[in-house]
Amino acid sequence: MVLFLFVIMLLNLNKETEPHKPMLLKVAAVFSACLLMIILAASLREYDTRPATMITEEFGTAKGVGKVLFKDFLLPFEVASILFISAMVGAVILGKKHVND
Amino acid sequence: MEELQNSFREIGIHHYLFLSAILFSIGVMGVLLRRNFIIIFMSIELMLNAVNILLAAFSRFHGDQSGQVFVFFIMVVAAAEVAVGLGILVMIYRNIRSTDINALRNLKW
Repeated sequence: MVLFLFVIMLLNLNKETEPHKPMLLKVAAVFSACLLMIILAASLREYDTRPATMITEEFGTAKGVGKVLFKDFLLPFEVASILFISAMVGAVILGKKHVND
Repeated sequence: MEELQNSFREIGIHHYLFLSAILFSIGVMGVLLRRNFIIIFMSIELMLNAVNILLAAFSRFHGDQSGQVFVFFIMVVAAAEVAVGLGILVMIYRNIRSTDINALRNLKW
């Protein structure tokens, strides 16, 4: 979210440069989004509503989640760190100003 | 902790499901409605976070913590995506001096 704010500040946007879609497309977009919401809600309505399962004392705490994260999901965790580093490097290279060209 | 569990029991999973559905639909609406690429990107983020809410709710409902770990992974991937995506968007803005996605249809058949 902070990144978005920085980019909006960087691009210095204002009301005049804001692009708009034609009215017909806007109405169609709102209509189809409402349809999607109705379909989602209708499909979720039938979901089984058993009372929630009883949980242990550790559930959802830093201790419990940490145990799952570092026992069952250790490899994905490490892979995610590599992904993160490469994304960081990529963002820096993309954001660099090219002086020569 | 006891108070938290009681409040969860009162709210029930349906409310989380509907909240998530509504947020996801707002995200879809934003993508369809706007032509500013920053706003489209924010709407995609909104959709990802709606799924996060759903995962956390199901995780609590089924008493399985893997769902919460998945939320972490979605957050990490979303953060990486935002960093690279916004870098690309800033570069595009420097080239075409506008945030209109209609300027970017060279690949359109």
